[in-house]
Amino acid sequence: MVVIKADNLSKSVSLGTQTLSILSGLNLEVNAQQTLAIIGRSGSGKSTLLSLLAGLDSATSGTIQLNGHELSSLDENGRAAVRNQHVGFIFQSFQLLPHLTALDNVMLPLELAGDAEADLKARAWLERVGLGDRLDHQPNQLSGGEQQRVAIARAFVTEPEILFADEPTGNLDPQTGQTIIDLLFNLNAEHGTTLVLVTHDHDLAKLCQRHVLLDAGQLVDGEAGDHTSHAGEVNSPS
Amino acid sequence: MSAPTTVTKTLKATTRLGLLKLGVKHWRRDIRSAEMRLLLVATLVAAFSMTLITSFTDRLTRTMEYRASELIAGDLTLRGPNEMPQEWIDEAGKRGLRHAPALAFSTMAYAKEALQLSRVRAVGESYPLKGSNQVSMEPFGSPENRASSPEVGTVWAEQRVLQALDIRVGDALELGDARFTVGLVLQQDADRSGNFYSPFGRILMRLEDVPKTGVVGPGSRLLHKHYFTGDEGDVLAYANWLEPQLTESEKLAGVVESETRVGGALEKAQQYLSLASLVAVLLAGVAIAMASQRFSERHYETAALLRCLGAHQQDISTIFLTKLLMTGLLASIVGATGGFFAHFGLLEVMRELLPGDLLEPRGMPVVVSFFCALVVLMAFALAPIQKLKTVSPVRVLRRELNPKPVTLNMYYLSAIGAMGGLAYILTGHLKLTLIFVIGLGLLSILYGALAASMLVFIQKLLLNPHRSASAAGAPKRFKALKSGFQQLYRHRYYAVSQLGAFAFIFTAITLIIVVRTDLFARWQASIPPETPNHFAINILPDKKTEFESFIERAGVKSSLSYPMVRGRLIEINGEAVTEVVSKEERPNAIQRELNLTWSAVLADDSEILEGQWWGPEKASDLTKPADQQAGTDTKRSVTGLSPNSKSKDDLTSLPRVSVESELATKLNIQIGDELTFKITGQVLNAEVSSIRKVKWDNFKPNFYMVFEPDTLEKFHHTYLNSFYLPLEDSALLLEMNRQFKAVSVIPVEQIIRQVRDILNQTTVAVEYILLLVLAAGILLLFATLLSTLSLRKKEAAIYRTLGAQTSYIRQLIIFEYIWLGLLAGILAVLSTELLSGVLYVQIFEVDWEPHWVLWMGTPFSAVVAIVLSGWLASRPVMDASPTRLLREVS
Repeated sequence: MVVIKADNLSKSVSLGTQTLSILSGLNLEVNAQQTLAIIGRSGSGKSTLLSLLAGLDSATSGTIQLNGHELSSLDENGRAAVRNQHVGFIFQSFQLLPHLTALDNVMLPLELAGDAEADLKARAWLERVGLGDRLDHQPNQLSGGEQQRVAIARAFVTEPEILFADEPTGNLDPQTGQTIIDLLFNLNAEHGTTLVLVTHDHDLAKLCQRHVLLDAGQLVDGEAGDHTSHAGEVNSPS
Repeated sequence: MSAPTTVTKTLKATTRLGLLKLGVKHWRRDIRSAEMRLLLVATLVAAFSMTLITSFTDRLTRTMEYRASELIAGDLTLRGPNEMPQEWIDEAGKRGLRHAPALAFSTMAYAKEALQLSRVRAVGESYPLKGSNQVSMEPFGSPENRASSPEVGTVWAEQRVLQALDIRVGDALELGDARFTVGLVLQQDADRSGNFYSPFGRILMRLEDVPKTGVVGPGSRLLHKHYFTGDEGDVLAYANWLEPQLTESEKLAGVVESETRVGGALEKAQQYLSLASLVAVLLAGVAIAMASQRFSERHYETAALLRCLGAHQQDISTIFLTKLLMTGLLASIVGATGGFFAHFGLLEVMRELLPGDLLEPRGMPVVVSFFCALVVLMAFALAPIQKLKTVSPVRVLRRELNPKPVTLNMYYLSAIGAMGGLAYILTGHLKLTLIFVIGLGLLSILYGALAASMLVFIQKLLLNPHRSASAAGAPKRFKALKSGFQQLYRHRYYAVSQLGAFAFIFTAITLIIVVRTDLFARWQASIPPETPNHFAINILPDKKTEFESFIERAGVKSSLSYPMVRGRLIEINGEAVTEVVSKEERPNAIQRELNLTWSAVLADDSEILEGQWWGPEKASDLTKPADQQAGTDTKRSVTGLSPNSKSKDDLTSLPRVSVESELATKLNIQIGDELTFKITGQVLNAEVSSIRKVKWDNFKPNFYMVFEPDTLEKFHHTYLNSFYLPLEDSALLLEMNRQFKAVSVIPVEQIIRQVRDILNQTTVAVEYILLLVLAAGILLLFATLLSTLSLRKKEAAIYRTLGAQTSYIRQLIIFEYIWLGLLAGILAVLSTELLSGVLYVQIFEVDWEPHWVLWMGTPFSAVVAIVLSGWLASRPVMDASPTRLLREVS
């Protein structure tokens, strides 16, 4: 089943008198439970693509379907609702709220959804990522690896169908990065989540079933393993 | 899969309460953050200073009002020519007010062979409700206070009555058919309102004795008066209840409305204190605006993340408004409680200077300040907080995405509106409120525009290639000054708002100082040490010269002698006065006989506003030759409508009269109008040739109507004089009385003393409030400087990484602050001059002159204050390592 479908997607920004095209006429389909790596150089538009697919931003033209929701037909509040129910995020800079404890940070998406069991679920997930004894620590009392674990717990706690990760190891040393990647991929496999990962790390990309390269605003054939015949064509999980 | 719209609805329904809880939870976690503390402290300062000031001024003004009410023998008086309905009096009783009735009439007093027309006030047993009668056993003896009325069968008579009848305390005095014993010499009636210059001596008697005199019957001209006293709220409620039911001839008056000089002083004092509390609120508002700006900026990431995790825009608003409200509640509770207790401390410190019997504190100022602080917080923080909901969720990926500069006009307008509402609550003065709101609006626009254009102008000036070339060889300091400015210019986005905030702070402080200095100097000057404390009235024309030389021989300082004719204004342009103005608007002045006078010269304290005086405008001009006087007059002519002196054609025209400006406004009298007076049964028409501003509180003879010479002489007239005599010098008064039997002397020393007391107390209160405003200002200075601290840290880190020396960074920062101080100081002077000008003319009714000393002093003080506090605030930036700075910033 296709959970993400982008059709003829374009994004351009105006810079004074000029218009800069970041993405133009891009097509992509991602199947449920698939792991997809979007790779590309700095400034190739990876983050822009991720923000469009995840419904954080709206496209200049084209359509995106996310788990059956036509994002371009929704307003920002509608997209927020979709994000809350179907999407999880992991960021390079962790994006934990500094004044909240680890537990509070993980509870946050549940609380926004009005989940009565937010506390229980968040505790369970922090246990799962190995931070059961760090519940009341604030981000600045945690190491980078620990912070990213909290972020992973926060991403999974709503049991989203789709997970978006933006350079999840970008701020970590290789060893910690590896631990985090293992954790992320294990949890992903366990929960059958669709993972869309943006990175310029080819080794990390290789761990995904499918890769697409973003170049000059277009997706081109995958290069980390030849799983795609052309952009948007989907391979079945190996 | 559910439709997206359904998803939205379900979520909203389930999270409304949860969001509030989430807001509270975030607030609890966030309370220790620097930006939250800043907001908390700013609101706390607002609540604290408002409560301190309002509690203090509330007690002080209530006490002053209470004491002033002693001068009208109650809190409220009701008077009219007819008997009042009994239900009005009963209603007062039901409302818990105490009441004392009185009846005033004029009648002949007899003793032995002599008779004397007297003004009798017959009062109930409970009179006076407040204050006391001043009495003595001997004529001009040392006065003694009696908070009671004469006993039945007894009267207390003024010295001049006794003198005219040649009797003493203990002798008999007859009024109509009844015979009374003179109990005491009445020096001052407890009710001091009314006509000072009444030619008749006063007699105080009991109401119960009136019937047996038989002098009061149908057709008698009577003045029924009722005095009320009670709790402030009850008195006010009763006045509000009664007011609409009054007929045309009935009049209700409290202390401030009553035509006592104390009322005027009190009103000015209250206006000033209100202004001071407004300024405190304004400072708090600016602090909150700065703090919430910073609060908002520091929460862009949080807002973006919350959006990313699925929060709606209104969820963001709910969460942050909850945080704001919690902050406000905590700060207001702590601040208001602290302020309330601090006011006891303030009173303790000032115990010596304050009246001993201050009224009890009320809860009202605390409650009002509590809500005011909340409203100020909401009004000023709403705009920056609302900005948070416009933060794009994409910011989680791209930090550089700042929220769009949304149109905040609505929020700013509502902030100004809220401040206006508060101003009205705090001052109860519509005009002051309007000036405040319009001034605030204009200043915000002005500051923004002026600050921005000043920056651009100086930048152009400094970048001028010609200048730069010459600057190459310029001293090092100049270069530092230039780079300091460029540093400021680089921060112009912040600089403009900082400049605005600093300008507000310095305007507030300077304004309070300037108004204080000017007003008090003028008020004090209006009652100089030897202000006339006695009025001599009823000086007969043939005794005038003799009286003047008596006074002169005694070495007593006196005013000019003014002739006085009693008359009533009955028509304006042929229309009856009663038709021209409605009852509510009719001033007291025309409801009774007026004292009319004539004069060739304009009194020194008076000023012609419209039209032209008929002779030299100042007494001092009298010495000038006639041709010079004419020249002066031409120059002073405002409209040029009336001729300077009567030409031959005008000889048949009406006599000219000059009208006091407030009365002219109330009666809509214009230059050229024809006024008809009734004087001792005869009618006199006169043409209005000038409108004149009179200083009522100068304790000199003042008149509503001044005629040109040769108009009133034909009517019966007496002369009026005022002079200063030390209180203990009663021998002279006795001698005066012996030589000039008809002359009545009215002492006003006590009123002068009371006005002085009020001014002194207000001055002391104001000094304290000034200190408080200063303290609040300094705190805000820090808050404002701290708001750009992280930006400075980041820059310092970059400079350092690039190898800049500490001294270079220090110099850069200091010179940037020098520019900030200088520009803010200039803005502050401009706005202080503007605001003080408007306030003086519109509110305090005093003349305005530019304050040149401010033009040097304010920018200088601003530079010193900003550099000093900026230095303190920036110390962490100076010495820290770049790594530490960068870590702190991130």
